[in-house]
Amino acid sequence: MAATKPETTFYICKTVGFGLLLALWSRHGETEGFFLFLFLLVMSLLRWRFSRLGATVLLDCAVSMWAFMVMPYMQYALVLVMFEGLYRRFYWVALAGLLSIYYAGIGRLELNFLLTLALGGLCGVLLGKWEKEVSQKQTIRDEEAGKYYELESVQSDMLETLPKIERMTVVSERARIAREIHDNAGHEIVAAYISLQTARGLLDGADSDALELYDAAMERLNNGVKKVRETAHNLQTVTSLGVETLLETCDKFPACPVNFRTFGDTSQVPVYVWSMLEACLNECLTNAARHARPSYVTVELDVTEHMVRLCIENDGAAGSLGSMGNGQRNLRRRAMAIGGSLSVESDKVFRVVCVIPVKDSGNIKEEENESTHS
Amino acid sequence: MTIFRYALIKGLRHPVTLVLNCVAPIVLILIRPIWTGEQFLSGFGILLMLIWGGAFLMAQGTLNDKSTGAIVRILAAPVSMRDYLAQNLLAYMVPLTLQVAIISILGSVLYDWNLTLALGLFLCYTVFTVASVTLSFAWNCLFKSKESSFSTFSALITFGTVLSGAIIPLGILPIALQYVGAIFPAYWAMRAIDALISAGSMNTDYLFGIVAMILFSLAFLLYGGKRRMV
Repeated sequence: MAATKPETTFYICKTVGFGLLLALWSRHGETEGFFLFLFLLVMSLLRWRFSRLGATVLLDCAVSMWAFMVMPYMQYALVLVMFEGLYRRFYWVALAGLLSIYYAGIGRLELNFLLTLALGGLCGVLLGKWEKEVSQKQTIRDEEAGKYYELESVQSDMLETLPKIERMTVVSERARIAREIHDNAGHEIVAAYISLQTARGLLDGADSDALELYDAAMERLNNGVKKVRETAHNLQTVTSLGVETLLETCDKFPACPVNFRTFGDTSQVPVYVWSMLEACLNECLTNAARHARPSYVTVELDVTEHMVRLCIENDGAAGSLGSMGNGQRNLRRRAMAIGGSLSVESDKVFRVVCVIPVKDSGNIKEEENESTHS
Repeated sequence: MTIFRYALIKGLRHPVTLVLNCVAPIVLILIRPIWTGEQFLSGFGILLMLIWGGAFLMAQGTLNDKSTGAIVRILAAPVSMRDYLAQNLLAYMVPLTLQVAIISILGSVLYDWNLTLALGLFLCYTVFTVASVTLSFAWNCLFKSKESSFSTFSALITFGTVLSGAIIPLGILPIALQYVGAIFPAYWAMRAIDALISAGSMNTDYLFGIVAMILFSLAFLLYGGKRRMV
């Protein structure tokens, strides 16, 4: 069985109250009295239908006070108004009740009426307190549920990101090896090969066996150079990485041209930071396309020795800083998880700035040494 | 106004509704004794009951939409609930208002009603039409099936007929029951008509009746509008 809600109890009491008021009216049958009943009924339905109109209970109070003076037999209408007013925490109605009693003279009023009025007010206050408590609990529960769902969303976001970072790490390491082979080892071997080819001319008078052996070695070295080139070529990744990905995302943005600028050495940025920057750029561009109509978008990537700063701004959503959406909240949590921050501001332009600290290689080496020693 | 058109067509498609809304009032106005006071039964009261019944049958369209799930399909289109209700209620009121207008004109021709009486009756019956349609709408919002709504409304209309003084004069009822009928708009319509006929002008009693019916309409509309349709 469902628990009784304070609101349901309030409406049951109110309906019973209207029934009793109608019964009271039927003993006299005056048209004005019925109009008061009908007015209070319509106003109650209005407040039930549009909950924001709670303050109209003060209008009921004014009309009931007037009726209290004009139609004494309808004085019980004030009980209903007192009950609702105090339930809705409009404590002014209690003052109206006291004023009415003062006007009528307490000695001239029936004890039954005074008791009913006090009881109605007390019931209203208690029901109001109950309703407030229930609504506070509901608010706390909603907030907690909101936090829980947010954390769940961040967790699933992280779980989705981890394999991506793993894959990006592998691809980036492969690209680095290919670069190393091509730029360093490959060039050294080719230089040695050219030197040996030059030296071949100086060996014309040498022993034919030695020359044969030399030529065979040169042939094998030549094959080796070809293999190294092929391997370096094959190791090159087809997936775009790092700054290329950001550039690609900007190029594909359909809503307006994106001005992308970079400052500093982007090759020093670790893979996990690229993943964060990509997510940030995607989210910001998606939001701009969905909620704003920008005439331009500017993306600036600033890499220094200690930090990476990504600034994305557009003029479409200027001055419209509302509450953060789920996407931005998740990004902020992700940025915080890696020691960074994400801030949003909106004045003449709408700007999102993501700052992520980067550990320099010196620090990393120190940390590695510390861990080895320990 | 597509919803309005279809609500009108659906409302008048049923033979009983058609007879009750179009044929019965015309036949009723032709029965002279009940309009000239020669009979115990009053034509004004019977017409009220006809309007009430006709309004209920028309307003069953919304309940029909609710029970068949048509409302879900309608609201899948870019139509708000307010538009849907407004157009439906308007479609239910239009034939009844036309019927009242025809009755007023025919009454003026057949029974020499003067302009004040004819206009007064037209206004009173029109406001009663609005009240009846909104009452039927609010009533239908309480139920999920047409059968239960119809059977309970039959009981309501029976009580309403007896207690509002539309068929039986209230004077012959016990005093305790004489004012119970005030919870029905028909009671106030009868009071307004009585005041209009006896005074021959739109006096305060008549206006009280009209205002009461307007307040009733507002109350029913607020109640029906709050109930869930989907």
